Amino acid sequence: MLFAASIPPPESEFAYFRALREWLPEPFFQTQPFLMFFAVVAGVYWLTPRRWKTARVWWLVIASFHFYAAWSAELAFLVGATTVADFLLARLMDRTADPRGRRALLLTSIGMNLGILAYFKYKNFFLGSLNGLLETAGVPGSFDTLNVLIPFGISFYTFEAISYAVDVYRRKIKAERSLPHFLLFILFFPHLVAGPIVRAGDFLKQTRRIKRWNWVRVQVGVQHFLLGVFLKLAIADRMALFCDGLPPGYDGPLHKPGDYSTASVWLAVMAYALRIYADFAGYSHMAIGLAHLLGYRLNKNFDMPYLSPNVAEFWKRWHISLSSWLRDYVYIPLGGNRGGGWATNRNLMLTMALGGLWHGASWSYVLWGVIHGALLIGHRQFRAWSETKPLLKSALESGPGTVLRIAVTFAAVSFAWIFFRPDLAGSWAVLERMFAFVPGKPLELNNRSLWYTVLFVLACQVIVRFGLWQRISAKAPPLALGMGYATCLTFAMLLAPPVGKTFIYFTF
Amino acid sequence: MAVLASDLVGHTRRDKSVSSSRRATRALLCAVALILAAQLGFGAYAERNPKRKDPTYGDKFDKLAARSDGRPLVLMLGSSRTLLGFHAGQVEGELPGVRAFNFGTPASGPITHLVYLRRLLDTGIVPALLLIEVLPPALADGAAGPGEQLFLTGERLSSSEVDLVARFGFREDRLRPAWRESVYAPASALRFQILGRAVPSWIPWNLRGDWSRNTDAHGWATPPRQTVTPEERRERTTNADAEYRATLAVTTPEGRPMRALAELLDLCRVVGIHARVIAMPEAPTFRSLYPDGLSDRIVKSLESVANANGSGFLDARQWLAEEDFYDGHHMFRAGAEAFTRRLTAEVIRPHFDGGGR
Repeated sequence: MLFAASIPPPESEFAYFRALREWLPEPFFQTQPFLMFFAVVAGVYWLTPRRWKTARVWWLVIASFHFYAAWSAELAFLVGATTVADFLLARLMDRTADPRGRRALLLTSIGMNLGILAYFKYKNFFLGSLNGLLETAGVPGSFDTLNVLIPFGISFYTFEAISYAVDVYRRKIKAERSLPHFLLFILFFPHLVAGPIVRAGDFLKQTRRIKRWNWVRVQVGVQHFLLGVFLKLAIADRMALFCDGLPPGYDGPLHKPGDYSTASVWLAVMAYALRIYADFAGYSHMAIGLAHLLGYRLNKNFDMPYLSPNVAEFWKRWHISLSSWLRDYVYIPLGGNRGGGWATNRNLMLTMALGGLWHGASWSYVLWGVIHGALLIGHRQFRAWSETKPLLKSALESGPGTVLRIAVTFAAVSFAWIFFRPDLAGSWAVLERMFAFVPGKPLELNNRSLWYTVLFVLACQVIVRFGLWQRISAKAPPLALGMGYATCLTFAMLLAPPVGKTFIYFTF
Repeated sequence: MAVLASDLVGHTRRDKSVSSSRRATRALLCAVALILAAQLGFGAYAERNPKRKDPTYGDKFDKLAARSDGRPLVLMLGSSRTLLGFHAGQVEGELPGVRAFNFGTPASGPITHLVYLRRLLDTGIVPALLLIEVLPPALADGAAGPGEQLFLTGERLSSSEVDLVARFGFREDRLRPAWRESVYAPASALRFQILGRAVPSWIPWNLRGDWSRNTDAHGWATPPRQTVTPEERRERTTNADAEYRATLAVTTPEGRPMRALAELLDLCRVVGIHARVIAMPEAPTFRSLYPDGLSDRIVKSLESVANANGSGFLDARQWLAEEDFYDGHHMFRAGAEAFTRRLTAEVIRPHFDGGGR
């Protein structure tokens, strides 16, 4: 598979946590054990009297800790400990009037979070790169790499903790006074593993509100959850068969491009683009749905990104919580677009390269980020140039022009996805095959099912884009809505392939 | 007036919120009811229709039922060796008064055959002559249970069949959950059975359950290519070696699959079906995979079980030569024709010429 399946960490020394892992072996929302876990959590949560607000928050904190501890108790304690440290540092920062003291506390908080992230996620990458350089330079000896398990979701909660510290430092928000509320902000299990990346300003105020059972909210939650399950099982995991190939060999076109025809590799790249979208958007919808079912609102993370007419627009609709984080905490602090053309382009490139590195500790992810940086810069230059060509501008903004721009954007983004994998050599091999124009093996599954899936997703997005779905769902009788939900779940179950449960973004 | 207006607005909002809440509740209840009805309804239907749960059985059953015409039936139960080796259409060519059908299914052994015979009897299909191939590796019965359980999984069975196979060492802790899922969530548990029939091209070939669909009308299949190069033969024989040598090393003829065979033969005796147990032809290379003396011990045990239950036994192990097989134990067309010709001459024709015995 292109992405390693989630590797279970070594068994805990404590029988309690071993039993917990048996009960909840995988942190996947669409699995039966998780749904049972969630039913217990939600049941106790809603049965707890409303006035026991703090008890409810503690219950969710305990549940979230257990959700993580079922995978690795040791790492759950680590995440819990750093969260408490972040809480205390921010409280201290709030109380400190001296700007230098505040700055020192901010740097301590950021340093701690980035240090842990670097140790677990990037140490091997940097050591590996350094070893490569030393080898090239002919210097003998090398640094030993580290065999440690990367805590899942580390990139997500690290960014949440950093943005909190920065916001408190900038006095944009006040430091949270309640430890359980802060713990819930970081550990809340629907977003803990793969986002959406939440901001303290959005989330903490929700922890203070009294939650009342609301059927409309439950309906919204169920709708999101079912959509997510459908995207994951019926689209993403199905598309994985086209790119990864079939078990047990998994020698699909993106693994062994040399065996396949050029046309098959192109189709596999398209399937890969769809897979990444459906996988992550599916996860995000499930997370948003689960949060709604507990009375919390997480921000939208995807807004039909493949219908974007340009790359800048794409980044406003793709992984919105990350792109807005990068904008607010990297791009703007670097100077944003305030320093003229060259500086803006440099800031764009730096931000996107960093965004690439955030995804994975590998040069291929950095290259992916750089390609997107180049695309953004190219789009910026082109837009400025086309402003001076009114005829071209109006042609591009016409109906057919917009369709063309969407198609070009999709092609560019799909091309960049080739590098969205840990193996750079594999990416080059795919690229080489795409332009070799040679015969070879066809895809192992019939192409028709790939095209039907692509057309189905496109049709759904167009229906939503033109507001048709919103109108239908607002007026549809309850029976029709119920049938829609039942059909969505049934098809998700039916179309789920035999393997492929790992969420791509769990590995980041 | 202003108070009245604000009251009205508040009232309307409350009404709207109550109506939205009612609508949401109804929609969710409808969804739950529909999901439960669809899943449980299909689950119950499949539980009563084994061919929906088990298309490998179902496709053969449909072909067999389509050829029902009152002539006495010669049915052969067996593994992929039978599937490729028993040319039932040829039997009908030689004996026009007899209906012959190949019920060979890959990776099956005596336990699967017992399940299949019971299903056929339940539908009223009673063969006049039942030929039963016993695949020697399928007699292996280690601590983990018979090897057949890897293929005859819980979702393919009904509740009573789960009880039956559990008696022969299938692991109930795996069978029951899979069976339960096939009843309560068939859209998931039986998805490959459903898609394999509705849109087969949407799933990988090995999940379609196509073995019985791609046979001729008599249930027989033959490889698309009828020759192999010496390299291919070597590679396939090596594969067979890798697949079977380790299993044969732990195979004994005293395990629970042999008890299943005895029960199958006993069932035939009770119902009045004449049965004949057959040790299928194997190439010399394949015969060399058996540990010393094992093949003869198996044959002796089969003979003894068959005799004890009033059935006959046929040892056809050495009927064919190496080149009649493509991997040492699966026959080419020529091998299948030669085997079927001799089987017809030595077993089927005498049975019917002798007035049914």
